[in-house]
Amino acid sequence: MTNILELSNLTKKFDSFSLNNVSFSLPKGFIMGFIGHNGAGKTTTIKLILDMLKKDSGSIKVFGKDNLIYKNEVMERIGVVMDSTYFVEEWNLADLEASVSPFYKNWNSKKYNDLLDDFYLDKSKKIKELSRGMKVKLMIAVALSHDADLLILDEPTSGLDAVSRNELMDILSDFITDENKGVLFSTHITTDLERVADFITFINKGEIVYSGTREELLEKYLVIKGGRGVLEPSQRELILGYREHSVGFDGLIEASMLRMMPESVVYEPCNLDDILVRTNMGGNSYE
Amino acid sequence: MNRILSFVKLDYAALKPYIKSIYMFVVIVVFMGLVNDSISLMFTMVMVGLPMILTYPFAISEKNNLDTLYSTLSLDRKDVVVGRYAFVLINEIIAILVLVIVAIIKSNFKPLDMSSEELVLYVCILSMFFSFIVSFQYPILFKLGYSKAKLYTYIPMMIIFFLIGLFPSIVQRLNLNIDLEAVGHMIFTNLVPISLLTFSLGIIFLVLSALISMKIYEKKDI
Repeated sequence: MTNILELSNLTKKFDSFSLNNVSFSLPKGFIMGFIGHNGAGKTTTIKLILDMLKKDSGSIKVFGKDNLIYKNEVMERIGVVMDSTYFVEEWNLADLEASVSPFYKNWNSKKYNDLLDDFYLDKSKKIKELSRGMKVKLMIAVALSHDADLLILDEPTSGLDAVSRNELMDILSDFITDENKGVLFSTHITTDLERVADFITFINKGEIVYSGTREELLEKYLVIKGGRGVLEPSQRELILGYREHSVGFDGLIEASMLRMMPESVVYEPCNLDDILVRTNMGGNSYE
Repeated sequence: MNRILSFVKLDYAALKPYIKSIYMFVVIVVFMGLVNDSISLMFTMVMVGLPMILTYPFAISEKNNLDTLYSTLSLDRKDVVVGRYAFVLINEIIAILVLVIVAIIKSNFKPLDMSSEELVLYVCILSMFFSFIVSFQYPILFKLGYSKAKLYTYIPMMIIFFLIGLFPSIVQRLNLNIDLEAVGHMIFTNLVPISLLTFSLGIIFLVLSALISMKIYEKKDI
């Protein structure tokens, strides 16, 4: 599998936060969900890929090329959607096209107009008159109008209603039907990823704790439940996000550790939200 | 080169929110130039007003998160800086052309208060001051952004007005025997080289300033 995006030992230090040795890769033809709590380092990683932040060390390769040395070439082929717009609010959608299209050799004006029509966006409207959902669709229209091979989306769904989120997932599914393309999709709303993500990269406190297929991640952990007082302290330590309530406990456990648990406990498959929430609850360290 | 020109075009497009106040400024300058006896007033207004207008792209950029836009485009950071300085030069040239055209139109109705050689010298000196002001402002604007840098952008104009105001007393206090008449004579007998020198100094200011801005913007976290 050829990688469309490859990060190796990426490090960036701030006063109160650091991104440590972040490494993962996204093969062509797939959607990768980039998950983590707020402040885990998702946006920092994306900003490093886009050269908005300067890395301290490590390497970033996009389409097999260094993202800084070949910046112009690389950016021609990347479509970006951030969590808030970065266009002049006074522009209408025609002004926007006139301003950004000269930067792309492959800008397709017909596609831009078709996408605006598909998204029910009026070209004469000012950007400041658009709703949050419409602004996200506008960023997607721009990202898709220059024949991008890699889409990088940073929390595009936060603040969107369920219908708009569903539409976005459809757009991504359509986009990825071309096996030479790829999507890196950062979000903390993991339900968005259940439908579309082939790979998941999970970042916590600036460190990658998992990067692989979604199925493997979901198979790796189980939600475990049981009555009060059935666990030995050593067993309790194996549980992530251990929570006690009036009739018992629940938590998350690595599937391979299930044999260490008493027979009386019950377990069930977990979802991405369980993993995200439990790891944020403290208790066990997450290895 | 294409990217830099595209960036200049983007800067002009970004000025849309301020376009009315810019037109208003141009109308007032031209009107004052036509009705006032002295042509120099029009030039001074441009020297003071244009550097302020040229900070608008930073204001708009900050308000609308345009540094992020630049990062998503096929655009090097140095192209952003070079493009912004090219935007300055283009505006300076447009301003000079407008001023000269107004002066020519005015001269058809009424004799100007300076000869054409003096006019060229005047334009070159103002251009040097203008370049000095912008050269001071831009690296700070690139470093701090518009809101934080706004106060500092007034400093070069204050320096210029302060020095002009204090010049006679400095001369007196230091007991300098400057023969202003001789200086004036020297200038007016060497109009072409002095015009070239002042214009070149302005360009040197801008080039040095652009190099500093490039270093600043290259390192900046957006």
